[in-house]
Amino acid sequence: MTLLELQGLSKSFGGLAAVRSASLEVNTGDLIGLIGPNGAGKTTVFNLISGFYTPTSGSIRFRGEEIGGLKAHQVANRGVARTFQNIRLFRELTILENVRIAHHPYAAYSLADSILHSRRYRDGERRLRAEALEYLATFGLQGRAETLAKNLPYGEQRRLEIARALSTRPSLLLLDEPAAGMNPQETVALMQLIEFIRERFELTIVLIEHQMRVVMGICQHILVMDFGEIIARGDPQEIQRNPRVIEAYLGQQAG
Amino acid sequence: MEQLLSQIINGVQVGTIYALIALGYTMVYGIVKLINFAHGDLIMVGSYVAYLSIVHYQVPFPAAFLLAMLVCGSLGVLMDRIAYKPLRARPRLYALITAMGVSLFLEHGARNLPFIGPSFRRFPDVFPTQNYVLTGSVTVTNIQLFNVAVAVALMALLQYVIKYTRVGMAMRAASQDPDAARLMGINVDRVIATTFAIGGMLAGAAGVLLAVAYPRLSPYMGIVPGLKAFVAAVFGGIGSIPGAMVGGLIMGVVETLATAVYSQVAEGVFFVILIAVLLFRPAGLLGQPTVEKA
Amino acid sequence: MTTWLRRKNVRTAALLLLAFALLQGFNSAGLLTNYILFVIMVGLINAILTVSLNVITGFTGQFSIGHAGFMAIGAYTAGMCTKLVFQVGPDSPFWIREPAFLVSLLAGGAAAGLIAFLIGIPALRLRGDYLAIATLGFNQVVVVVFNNLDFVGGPRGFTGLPKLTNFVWVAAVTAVSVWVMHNLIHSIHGSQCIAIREDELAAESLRVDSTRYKSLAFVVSSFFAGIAGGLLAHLLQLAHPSQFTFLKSIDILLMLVVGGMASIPGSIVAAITLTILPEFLRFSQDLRLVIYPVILIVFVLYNPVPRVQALLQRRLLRRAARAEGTGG
Repeated sequence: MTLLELQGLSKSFGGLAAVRSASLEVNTGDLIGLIGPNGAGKTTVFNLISGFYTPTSGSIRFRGEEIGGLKAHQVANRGVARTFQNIRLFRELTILENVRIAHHPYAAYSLADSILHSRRYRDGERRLRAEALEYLATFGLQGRAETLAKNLPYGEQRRLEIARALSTRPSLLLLDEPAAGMNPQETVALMQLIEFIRERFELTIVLIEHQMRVVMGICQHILVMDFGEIIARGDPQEIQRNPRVIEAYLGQQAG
Repeated sequence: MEQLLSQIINGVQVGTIYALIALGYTMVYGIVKLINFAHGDLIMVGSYVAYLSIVHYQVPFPAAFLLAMLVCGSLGVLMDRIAYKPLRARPRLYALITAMGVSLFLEHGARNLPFIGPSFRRFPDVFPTQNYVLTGSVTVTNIQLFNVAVAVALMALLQYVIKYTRVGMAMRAASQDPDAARLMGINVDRVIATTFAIGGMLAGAAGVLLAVAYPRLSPYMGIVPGLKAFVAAVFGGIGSIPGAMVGGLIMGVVETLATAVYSQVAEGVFFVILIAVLLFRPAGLLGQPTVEKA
Repeated sequence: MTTWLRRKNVRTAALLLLAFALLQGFNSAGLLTNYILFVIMVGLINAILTVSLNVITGFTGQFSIGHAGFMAIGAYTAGMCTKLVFQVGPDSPFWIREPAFLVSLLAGGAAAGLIAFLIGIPALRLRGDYLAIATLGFNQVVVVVFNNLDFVGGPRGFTGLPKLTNFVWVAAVTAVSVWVMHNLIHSIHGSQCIAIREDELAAESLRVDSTRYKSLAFVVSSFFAGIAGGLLAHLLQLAHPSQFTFLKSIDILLMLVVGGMASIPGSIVAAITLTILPEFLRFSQDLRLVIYPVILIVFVLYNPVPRVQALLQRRLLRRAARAEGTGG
């Protein structure tokens, strides 16, 4: 079943095309890698899907519904979650609070309930806390619930950001360079984590990555972008042999 | 029609003074992203310096004018050193608050000085007023001509400094990207001090010009023109130097016209324009829109 | 056991009641001069203002320098209700006077909240300094409007308001206002505001409707500013445009900063201290005005209060978290 479908998607900033007529299809359960040299437009594609940018033209369909031009929280409400290239945690809040906030749609109590501290407020708060702790446990962060997010080591910040994104209970997860800045051991752990959450939460995942071993290691399907266009698609073996891909990467290294 | 023309002439005079003040706001904002609320009070300081040196020490007007600029320039630098510089790394709100503190301190401090005092002082006539008839009832005074000429000359000088001198280049670089400028070996702290000095000097000059045109001096005389010049800076696009000049001029003309039509709401018109600009073109007339990146 | 009757809440309530009883006792016994009582009441009204500014600026992260504008709307609206609509005074029967005053205060708050809602829709799209400038402009527009409304006195001010504000009213309204804002902030709704302050884009990606929550915080904040304005107007028996210029907004902002962003107890302590402190500096009315800004600058440059507070708050939070975990 098609979960996400981009058709002729373009975005330009003041005449400069960041994404040019990109089309792709993501089926439920896929794990797709999006690669390409710096400035190829990968993050722009994520920003378009998640509602941070409005497409200049083209369509974005999620479960058959057009979501291009919706606001970010509306897209998130439909089941799309994401992480950011330069980790965007709530740095001054605790780890528990980071995840608890993401559970807010399941609090199920109103403003009046919170003012009056009604039974619904208390039940809601207890449930939020329990669920947040459960998510932290799943990601091995339960021991540090009260630590401020900014005090976590880098690798765990990435993990917390994924835990937080999953707390919104998405069906599609967009990971923007999850392995950036990680050492080899951390990278291996991350790859296992991605495999694990995919099974555990029945997720469809699209990930942007620079480290080839991550992409080649876990993605069944890879898309390559260069200069705002999708220049190649296929399984890891095909991609490695594709002359345009080699040119794009070598070209970048030469220049 | 003639009425309109007289008002516009009046507006241009006020407008060029606003422009001088607005330049200080905009230059400081361009580099340290601070709305220097105390900037308006430099106008007051400038006009009192000129007043005191002329009345008590019989200093000739041109020298008094330069002295006012010098004192205000130094005061600008001092302000930054004491109240803003230590807060550069903190959230911007904090410097905004100390700026307000500095502003209150200057106003009330001036009020408590015996030779400034709580009462109004009258600025001496620098030269006898002369009217030149343009057409019919439209006249222009030598004071208006003098004010506009001086203001335009100062702005031309500023443009020259910014465009063609090393200091100016460093200022432009630092306002584009302070970190990159620092890496290129520019002493950003010194550039900031220079900016405060130039802004202060222009405000001092504006203070003297204002006193020449409207000779009533009071410790609180800087607040309203300061606020209006600030609106002008936002209107022109805060951070943009040509924007401050154009903004000041337009706001001066709009204000005089609005006052002529219905003086009660003239001040309101100012702020309505301010809000409208912020909502529909937040970067101002000549400012660069910023793109936020996810 | 319901949360209402937690030991901590009971203790807080008992302390507050004790303080209230003491002050009210001193007052009835004639031990407090009207002047001291007046200063305390102004301090409490400032506490409402500071806590309410904290909701939008400290917790939601949206800089507003227009708080006095909402205060003015509340003051004038409440004044119109008591003086022109209900026409109550200190001599009206108790059972008409007091409910009428309550309705008037609420009307003042509602008017301020409504205006906040309307101007918030476009203005809250602005970020940081731009929002600060826009709210400052809004504040001055409000002042100009009241200066030109003849039926509420125009530039002469809205005079002859009935003296309905007394210590009981101020204490009760302050307690209820702070309690309501505290509970809102410490709910998941408040958490969403805090998330917006921390990182608006990240919050949006987590299904937080940032427009809605910024607007909510702005309306709540302005509502209580309006209530405080109504109280003040019926204490001074006057609402004057010059009371509500952006300088008043800056005063409130100052209290907020001294008390520490995002700290409700800090806001209250700072508001009361900064109201009372200048009264001690009365040795010279003129010099006071010079010393005050100096204290302000020194305080911002070397403020120890927020640090101490952050420490205390973290401890309190941990304790609260433990209590939450074990029972309740």
